[in-house]
Amino acid sequence: MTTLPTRLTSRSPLPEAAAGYWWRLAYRHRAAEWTLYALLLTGLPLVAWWAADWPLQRWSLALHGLLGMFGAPLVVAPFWLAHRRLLQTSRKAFLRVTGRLMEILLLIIAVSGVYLVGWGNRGDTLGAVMHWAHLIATLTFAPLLLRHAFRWSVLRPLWRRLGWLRTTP
Amino acid sequence: MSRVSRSTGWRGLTALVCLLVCVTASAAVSSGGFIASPDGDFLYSANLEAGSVSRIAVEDPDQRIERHLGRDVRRLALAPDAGLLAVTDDLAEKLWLLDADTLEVEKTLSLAKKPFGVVYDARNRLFWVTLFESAELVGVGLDGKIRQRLGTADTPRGLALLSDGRLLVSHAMTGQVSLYDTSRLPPKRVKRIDLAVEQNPDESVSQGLPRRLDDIAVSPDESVAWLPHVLWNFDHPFQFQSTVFPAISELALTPGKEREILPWRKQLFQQINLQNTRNRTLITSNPTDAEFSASGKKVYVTMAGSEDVLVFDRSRGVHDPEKLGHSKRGRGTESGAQASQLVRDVPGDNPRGLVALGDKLYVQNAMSLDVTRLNTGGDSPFARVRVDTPHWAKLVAEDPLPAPVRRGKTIFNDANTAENPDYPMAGDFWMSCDSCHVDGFNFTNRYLMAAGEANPHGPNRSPNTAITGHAGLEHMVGGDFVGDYIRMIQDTQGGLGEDTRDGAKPVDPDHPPAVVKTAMDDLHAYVTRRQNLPYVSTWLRFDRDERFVHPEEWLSSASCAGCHSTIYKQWANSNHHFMGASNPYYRVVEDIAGESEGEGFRAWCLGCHNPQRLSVGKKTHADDNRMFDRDGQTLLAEYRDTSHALDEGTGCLFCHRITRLEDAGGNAAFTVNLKDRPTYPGETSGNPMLRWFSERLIGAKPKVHADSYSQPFYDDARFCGNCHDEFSPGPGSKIVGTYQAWKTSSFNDPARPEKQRSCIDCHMHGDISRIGEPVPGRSTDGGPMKENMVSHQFTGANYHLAGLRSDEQRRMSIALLRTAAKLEERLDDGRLVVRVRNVGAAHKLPTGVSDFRQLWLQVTVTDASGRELIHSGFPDADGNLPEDSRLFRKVMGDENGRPVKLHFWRFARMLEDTRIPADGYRDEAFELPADVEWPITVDSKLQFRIYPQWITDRVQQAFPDLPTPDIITLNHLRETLGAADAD
Repeated sequence: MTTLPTRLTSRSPLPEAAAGYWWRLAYRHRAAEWTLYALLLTGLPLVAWWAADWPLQRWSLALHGLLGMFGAPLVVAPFWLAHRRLLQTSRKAFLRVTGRLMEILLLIIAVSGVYLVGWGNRGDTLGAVMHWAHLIATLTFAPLLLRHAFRWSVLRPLWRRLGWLRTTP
Repeated sequence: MSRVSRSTGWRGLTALVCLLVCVTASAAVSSGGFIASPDGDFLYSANLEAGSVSRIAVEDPDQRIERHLGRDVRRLALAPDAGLLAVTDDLAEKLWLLDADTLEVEKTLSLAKKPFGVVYDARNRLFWVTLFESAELVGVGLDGKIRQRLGTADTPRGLALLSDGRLLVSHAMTGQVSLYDTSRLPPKRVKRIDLAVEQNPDESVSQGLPRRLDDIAVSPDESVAWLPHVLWNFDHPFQFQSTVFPAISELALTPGKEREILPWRKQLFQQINLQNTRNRTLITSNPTDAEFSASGKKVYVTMAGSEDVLVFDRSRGVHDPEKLGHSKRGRGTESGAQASQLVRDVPGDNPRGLVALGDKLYVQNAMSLDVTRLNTGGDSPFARVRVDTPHWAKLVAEDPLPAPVRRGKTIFNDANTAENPDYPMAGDFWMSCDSCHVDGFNFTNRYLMAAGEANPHGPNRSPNTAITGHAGLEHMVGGDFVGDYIRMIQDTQGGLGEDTRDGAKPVDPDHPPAVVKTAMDDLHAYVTRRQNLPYVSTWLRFDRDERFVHPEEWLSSASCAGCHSTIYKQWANSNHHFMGASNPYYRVVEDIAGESEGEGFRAWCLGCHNPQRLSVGKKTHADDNRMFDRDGQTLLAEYRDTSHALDEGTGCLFCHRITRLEDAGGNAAFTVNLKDRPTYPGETSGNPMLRWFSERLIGAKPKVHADSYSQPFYDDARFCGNCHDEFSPGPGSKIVGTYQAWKTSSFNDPARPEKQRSCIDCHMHGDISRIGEPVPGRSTDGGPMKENMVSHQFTGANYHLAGLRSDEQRRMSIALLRTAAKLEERLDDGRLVVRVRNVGAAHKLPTGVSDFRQLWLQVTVTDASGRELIHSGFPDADGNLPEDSRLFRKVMGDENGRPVKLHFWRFARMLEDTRIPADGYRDEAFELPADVEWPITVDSKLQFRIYPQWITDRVQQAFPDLPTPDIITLNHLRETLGAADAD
């Protein structure tokens, strides 16, 4: 049983249960992290540089689209909004800085993604800007995410197997 | 024991001598489909449509390795220093590099279009490969990468590389040989030799255009090259023993003096002094491959049609081209090598490749897929070649072609009268289908048509004859292929009972015996192969093995409207959409075609007018008429329920999935690829939600979508020409020649971009008043503003039908028509002359099925007293024009000289042609009465009507709600002539 700090409950306009959920959500990163990795993995085959076969691309594109339309707003966005409090108040400067950078990048990715799905890259300059913004922001965001979440990540078993992580946080 | 050792020693010495001879003899290398390893231990065979390569041990033919590779393996070349075997496949369009010992594939290279000949150049460590259709020569390194690439003259096919680096390239369909210097790279063309075209008023004398130059054989001393080929003589209606002649041309190869030695050309028809037991001169057909004996004293030639091997003796007479003309022994000895023997009816079908090893001659039979071994008997003038081992080796374990197709292809290549004496495919071993239809039915058709249409040397050609192919067909092939195949075989090849001298039984084309009917069915199975004519009457084909497409592979054009609404609307109202069931004129004519020729003949119409229906196996136009449907509303409504539709006309998917043009002379000669179209998840679903989702995905990643609907040839006039040129299937009469006319006009001038106008520059231009200037627009909704948006209204002459749906398209059509011509009036020796000048049309005026277009002068002349002197070109109360109207048109006639009217596919003779060519004019003179009171007032109008009244009357009987087309005035000139102060 977790007891919520009095200061938080007394100042929150939300009902206590919702505020509690919101408080705990900031720490429940697993689903959001998996969603982000899934978005990354389904997005990578779509990058023109390595010209993956179309049968792989088309299903990646469909999954990427579905995850972007439903996973991002329903899973990633609530987590991130709840998680921002931790980013702002963390005692570790590294987490604060990477967190700020990541939320800027996430915003770019989200806006460009909504544009690409909603309106589409129709061959004009804005479409090209959105395409490149989505790609570059993602490729920057991915390593930041891996590093930012390194010690708490859902990928800890992998890091351990690779010998990059020796202690349990 | 010692005898064995001695025997082994002698054999070893013999092998060494053989090897030395082989090495010496192979100083020059030629492209071939049947070759030997340098040590003579192995034979390699390209097994053509069996799709494989075989390696056979000479000592034991049962030791065979076969590697299946592709679809039509044509030629081979060994690189002994690298242990590689290069293999070309013209249908799979690939070059493979194989391990020469194991035939394991080491490298695969895609090579469009139609790689054919291949030789190995040891000096440069390159394989030279000819690309037959794209007219290129490429040098491929041993690593399988293209190192050299250069354009050549049309249709390069055979190759021979001389020891000094000169590379001979034969141009199969133009009768030329190019010489390149490969001693330095990049290779440089040093010479092009045009083989002589001989003509003679006597049609039974060997003459014509050298064609089908597949292979080049070089003598061991590299002094001469032999090129087996045929001569096409199409300057008269096809007939037995006068249209195709077998021949072998010889080239002198003295460096710097390379030339054809015409006196040495072997005119094989009735000019080889070899007779049968009944004192008839032996006839042979389709010379294909030649091979010199090691000493060069003998030359062996396969006759693929008559299935013989012809032997030439070079041991006597002059064979050094540089001594030609200096002989004191007279002309007889200067005529080159003489045919000394014909090995008749060599076991096996369709002998092509030849390899001479010692006193053995190996013959590759391309249809029976085996090898027959002959014994040459040596090199002496008295040596006789005899069959040593029939069917000595099998080339393939199992023929992948279905049995009827193999039998059909064998018939297609067969001119061996002896093989089936009762029902031979050719009389007197004369010719096969393959003598003209090289490799079946493909882009080479345009050379056939050109040879018929424009034989500049033909003394027998009547200028009014339109038929360039087979005359006398009863059902235009497609209507009843059995009967018409028989007619073609009888009339052109003398087969199936036409020539009875060798015991052939008569055959009635309408009631053939069962054995002949079965043979024709087999032939049809080959003719309808995917690379040939799957729908018989049209050249449309799909890039797949199956003849028909599943209807759900087609997407409704309405599916494009979501993002390309402007273009969709333009197309939806255009005549490129409603040119099938919703074009009443078309429906009436298609029905006539089906009723008069046989239902199968409708495919000829459907190939361009409704290809999607044809592709799924529908045999006629649809029933629903949407001629008044504006902006494609019906299609959009249907799209709400299903994404699939067999669009009428040429829809978005059809045109934008054409992946290859063949330019066979028209008749939809293009290949459509649906199977490889990258689809997005949900795109073809019937569920609107899934389709909405797929549209989101296309928007998010549109490049794959855009690339899959884009080809580099959209501004290539051939793209349009494939339907805007039209020939009758079988007779080959050019019914519509719009593209052909443009091609020879001043508008086709790439060197002067300001003058150059392709089809789309006028007919897909958004603003007719500004042709030549870009018209900005968006092809994708919300997309970028393009400098010039290519309009999809396909503005043409048919203002009437497009105008039923769109006032704008009617206006644009009339505006375009009005740019075409100008009028001038003058007096000339008491006559009024009205000149109509074609100033804007890059083709004849009118064009299209110009029997149906009415362009005429309406002239009124009144003199000073007000008396009307001339009143011409005024339609009567029923809308019909008087007989004496001055029309600009062509009048097509049938074989009996009667106007064909609506049966225009029966065009055989041009009865009248008053069309105005591009850049040209036509003068119409009107006699004036002697008592004219000057000056006169001349009122001339150039009038146009899209269909004559009599046709509209006929169509309105079936479609009463069809409005009558208006008469449009394209130009109007009113002048006073003959005034006192006039010039």
